[in-house]
Amino acid sequence: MKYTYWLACMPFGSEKKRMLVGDYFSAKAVYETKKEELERLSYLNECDVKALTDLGCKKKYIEDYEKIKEQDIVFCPYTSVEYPSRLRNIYNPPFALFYKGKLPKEEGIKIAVVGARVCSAYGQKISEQIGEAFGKIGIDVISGMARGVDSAAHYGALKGNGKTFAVLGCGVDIVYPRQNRELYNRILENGAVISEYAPGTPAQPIFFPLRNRIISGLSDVVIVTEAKRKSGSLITADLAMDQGREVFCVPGRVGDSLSEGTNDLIHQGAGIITSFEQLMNDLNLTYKPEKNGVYNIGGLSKDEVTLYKALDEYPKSLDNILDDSNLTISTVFEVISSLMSKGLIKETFKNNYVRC
Amino acid sequence: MYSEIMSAILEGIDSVLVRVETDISDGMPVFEMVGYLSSEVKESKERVRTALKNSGISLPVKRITVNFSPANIRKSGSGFDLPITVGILIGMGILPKENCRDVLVVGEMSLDGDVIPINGILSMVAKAKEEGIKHCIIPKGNAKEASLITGITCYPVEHLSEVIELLNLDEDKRDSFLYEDNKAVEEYIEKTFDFDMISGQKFVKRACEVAASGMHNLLLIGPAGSGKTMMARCIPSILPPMTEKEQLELSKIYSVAGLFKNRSSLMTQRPFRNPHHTISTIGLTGGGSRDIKPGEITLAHCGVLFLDEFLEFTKSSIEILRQPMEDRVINITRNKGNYTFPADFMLVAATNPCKCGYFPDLNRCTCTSASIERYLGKMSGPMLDRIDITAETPQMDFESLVNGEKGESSKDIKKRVITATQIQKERFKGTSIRFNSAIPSSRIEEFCQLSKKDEQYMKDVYENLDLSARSYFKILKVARTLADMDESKNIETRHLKESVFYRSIDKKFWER
Repeated sequence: MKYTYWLACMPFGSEKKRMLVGDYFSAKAVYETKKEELERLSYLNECDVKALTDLGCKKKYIEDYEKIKEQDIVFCPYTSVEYPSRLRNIYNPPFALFYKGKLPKEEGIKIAVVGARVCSAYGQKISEQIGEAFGKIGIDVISGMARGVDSAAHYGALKGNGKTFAVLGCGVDIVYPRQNRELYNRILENGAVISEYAPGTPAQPIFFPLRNRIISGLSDVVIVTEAKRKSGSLITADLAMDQGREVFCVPGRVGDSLSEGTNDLIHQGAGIITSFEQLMNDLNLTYKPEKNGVYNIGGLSKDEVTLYKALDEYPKSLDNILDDSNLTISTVFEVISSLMSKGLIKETFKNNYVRC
Repeated sequence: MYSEIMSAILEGIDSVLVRVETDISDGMPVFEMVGYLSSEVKESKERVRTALKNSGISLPVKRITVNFSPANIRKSGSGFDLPITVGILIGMGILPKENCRDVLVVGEMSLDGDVIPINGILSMVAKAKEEGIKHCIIPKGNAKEASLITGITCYPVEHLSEVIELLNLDEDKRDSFLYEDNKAVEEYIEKTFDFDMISGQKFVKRACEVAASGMHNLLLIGPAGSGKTMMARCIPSILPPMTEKEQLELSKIYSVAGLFKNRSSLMTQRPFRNPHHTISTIGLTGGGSRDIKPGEITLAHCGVLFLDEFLEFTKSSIEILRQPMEDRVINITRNKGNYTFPADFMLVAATNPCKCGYFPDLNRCTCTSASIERYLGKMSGPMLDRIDITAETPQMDFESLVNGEKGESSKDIKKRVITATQIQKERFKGTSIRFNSAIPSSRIEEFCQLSKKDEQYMKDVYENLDLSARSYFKILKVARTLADMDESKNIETRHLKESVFYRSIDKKFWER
């Protein structure tokens, strides 16, 4: 097993690792193979051979195999019974998984929620609501723990007391982005962080598109909430379609750059989310809609209603609010304060407001 | 024969009197000058010799020694040509010695004997008056500037021959040399910026007014072209008028720096300085290895120091502002000595919200959240602590740019600002505090008392907005100013509510 661990930690693709094991029948045999012989293999390049024959590396990873247990990191190779069957069936499945926490159960449907890192307040809200809705009915939510949509989806699932799983583009013992430390800890308690990269591997840009295949591979349905035309989330959506997963998108306004990607996917034939009921119906899930998203704006003063109407889902600066609402500046201060304390609006950036 | 004549050099923005002693005695014909001279003073020798020759006077074939006393101060500046000449002329017996007592002589000379204006006349004449000197001979080009100091007689001269003529007359017969301003006084009006030029942007304007009322430092955040610079330029126009003492001080600074454009009266307009962000630290604070020059913060004395692209300034140049902002002066120590320049300015900083400048407009902003974090994270914590008011200037849409209603004029706003500053003057009588912005946190409770209800309100705000102790105090200070603007004795809930809008930028806006 420790030799498999060593092989899994090698810095090249899963495919090559599987071919090596295929050729030599065990990781141990690969471990003991001489350099000259490895050099003869056509699918290995110089760097790969160098890594495979590096004695320091060999020693380190064999020792590490014992150490990771102390850090509660579980090593799960392709051959293990625990290895998720959904992953087994995709193109180029990871040679092994490292994870902290508990892997998702095989039964039940799994949802992946992905989207832009720099997302709008609306995108954040809707991702969180989707996460929460699935969390509440006990459906696992899978995402990438990136900033923006990913984090919102995880938080939503946690809010709905559901299980949530984060597939990382770095070692499972590394929190990236750093601000997500709290989220990371909560995910450990209610799900798992999963990665195909060895513990201690720092995040690298090329890892992220690769880990997207695991996000879609682990799930049955992929939901894209917000994506620009050239977004990593679209890679996930493409992979999901290749893997035969269903893709649903949250539609956006025409002209919003953050919705161009999702609208495009819908145009290509992806599912559209018009309401949570519709989404749940499409997925054959039972879902009791709660009174959510509709605010009782009764009981507000006239000025409060005027101001609330001047706002929408898109951040508006104080000066634009002043122009649109025709209220005096002192009234606007007063009314925004009271609406904020009532939780009806929120500040997304310094002096910019949106409806909650 | 021995003679002495008074002159002056600049030391910082003040002046020091220097006695120029001349001795002409038998010996080898040399012209020697001693007394810790910089090269421009050493070169003076040639100018004096030639100017005298061209005025029809040749130097005697004798040993001429000129000494500048006190000898321990380095003599710099170009104002010594005239006093050296006068000293030699007395020594030669061309000028009567007794007529040259109690006279301060300064001025640069050209080779044909023309007297050329110099920098810092205001400061020199003021010093002469302080030391009890009764007469000054100054270059004609500096006449207006010198006339701003009353109680001392100044004789502006244009040519060396005039000096000889003047000093040969008795004191009571020199009236024809007095400066007469025959020309109708040209009121020198610098192009002023007025708030009525800006349409819309009500919130930012309000923020400027509040900042001016309590002398709070201001940070404007907004995309390029949203009017941050324009707004900052208008701020001097709403600050209360300067006192005469302030005017004199400011005029002296500008005279020393050679920037005194309007020499017919003291500087009455508050300055607006906007140094480019490539400025060196010395450029900001003042200094220099040979001549100590006032920096931008001193030139912005009594006015506005505007730092556009605040985050592009080097870290060190921003950090050095901290001490002058507290002390309102800058102490410069060089091996020449210690200098204190006044630096009582209001800081207005402006920055883009991100690298591309469009955040939070996500349709146009192309920045990643990491790059936004990096960009805004550059904001220095201690510096942010000194900025009480932060406001966002949004991009203007064409509609409001063209059809937007005209705002209030600066004159009207100024009236309110004056009222508010008056109230503060009353309140802080007998303390070192001058404006609400300077209330130390230890005395917040004394000056910013809240009612029970408001205390509860602030507690809620504190928790909901996740404020830091610092930003909490800042909110109280700004609320105090708002109450003063309202002429209300106590801070009311509405003041607190408004004050919350000016609080500093939070991390949470870009960390998600």
